[in-house]
Amino acid sequence: MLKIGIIFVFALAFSPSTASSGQAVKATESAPDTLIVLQRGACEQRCAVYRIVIFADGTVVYEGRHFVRKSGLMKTGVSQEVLSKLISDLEAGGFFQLEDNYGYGNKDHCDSIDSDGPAAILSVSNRGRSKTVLHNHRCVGSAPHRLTELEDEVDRAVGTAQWIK
Amino acid sequence: MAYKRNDAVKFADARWNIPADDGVFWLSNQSVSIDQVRLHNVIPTPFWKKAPVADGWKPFFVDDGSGGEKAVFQRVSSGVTEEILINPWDGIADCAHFLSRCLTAGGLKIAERGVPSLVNTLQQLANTKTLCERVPREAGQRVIDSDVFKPGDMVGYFNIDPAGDYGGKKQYSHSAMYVGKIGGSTDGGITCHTICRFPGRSWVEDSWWLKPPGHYAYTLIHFSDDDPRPDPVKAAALPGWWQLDYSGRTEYYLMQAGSATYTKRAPTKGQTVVHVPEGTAYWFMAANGEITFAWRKSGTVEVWTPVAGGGYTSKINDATPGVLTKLF
Repeated sequence: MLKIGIIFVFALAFSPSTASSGQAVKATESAPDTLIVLQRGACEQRCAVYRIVIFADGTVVYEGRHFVRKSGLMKTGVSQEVLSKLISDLEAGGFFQLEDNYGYGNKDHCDSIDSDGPAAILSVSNRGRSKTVLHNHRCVGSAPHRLTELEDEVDRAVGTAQWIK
Repeated sequence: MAYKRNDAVKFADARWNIPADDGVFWLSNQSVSIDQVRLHNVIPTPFWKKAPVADGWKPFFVDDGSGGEKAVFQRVSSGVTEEILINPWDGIADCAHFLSRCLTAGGLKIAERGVPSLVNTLQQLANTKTLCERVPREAGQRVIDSDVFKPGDMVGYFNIDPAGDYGGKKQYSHSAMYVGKIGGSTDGGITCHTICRFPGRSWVEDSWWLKPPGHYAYTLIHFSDDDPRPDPVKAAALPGWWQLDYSGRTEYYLMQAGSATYTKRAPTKGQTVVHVPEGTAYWFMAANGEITFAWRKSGTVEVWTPVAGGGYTSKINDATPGVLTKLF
């Protein structure tokens, strides 16, 4: 629970109201409660450890922590089109129907356990819905695989690869 | 100074799951002094607490329950183990540092923090021989099973997985010290930090290959200080050109003191150099005169067995026989 708490403190600290965009949300933009947080943890293979937060207005805050090309905090953004498509993809991918936990303390949804893999935590709030999924990437199975694709979708939308590889 | 492999392994055994003797462990971006972090939030972290020596706190690396490890202070109070978190799994990167301290305990002067530089430094030492370089697991196992590779020798792990270490970079990403076939292991085990390993105590895989095929290519670096000295009479008869015929193929070996190169082109009289060798090897002579070759690029292990009346027969990878002829 500590990690989840940290996510939201992080998100609040860099919310758009404090991030200098200062613009009113237009009717055509994403729902004002939209918030996407992806946090990736360590693995023995020196996986990139970082967090990204995407706000309703498209503001993106990246924090590179370990084994990344760019360390520290950075503010950037994505277009409303990209954000809307990402939300659509997450919905279509069944994110809100996933379990809350894959491979953390239980192996219920794991067909097998890999020898190594990072942790990832994906939180999405949108249109009154909010969900956080803990994902131990050592957990191998169809549902965890689908979750991995959704996590990767968030990375692709933001273009995280340029800062971590 | 000669490498004392037993001292290095003994050091690793004693400190496999605790910070090294310099009182430091490494994160990806900073060193952490145990003395300092006991009293000050030097990393810093939101969960830091004081852990004075006087209160019985001792540093360990322990299983974090999700496949990684964490750095903690622990103490036992009224039969209950209490714990203060120093650093979670994120960022711990102590492998090259720990091995440097192990090698220092063995009498060497090594102080590397990065794996590529550690491997490079080891390969440049006058008393090391790279027995095989970036070879697959089965080739590495052949070299280990040859018994030339000994406890205290080193393993470099070269990432070949596009989705692997450091974002899939093709580079040395991990290192370990081989400690032998302990506890019934047939493959052989290693010791390292991040994640902590020592055969029989590790909570993760500690066979020398570490991961299934497709993740790593392996480099085995052997310290040669204590290799048996070859019989001088038998060794004196080796230098020069030899022809090997096996499986319908012919290769030509240029034997030198302790090493060999091979080519597919027949040598000319008086030729003393192979300009573009197909492969290079170190050779090691046992007391019975048997000669073991470790071919660096392929990890092929070849054994020459003396025959009555002089000369040798060859066997490649314990399977393919060959006929040897001394040319000149």
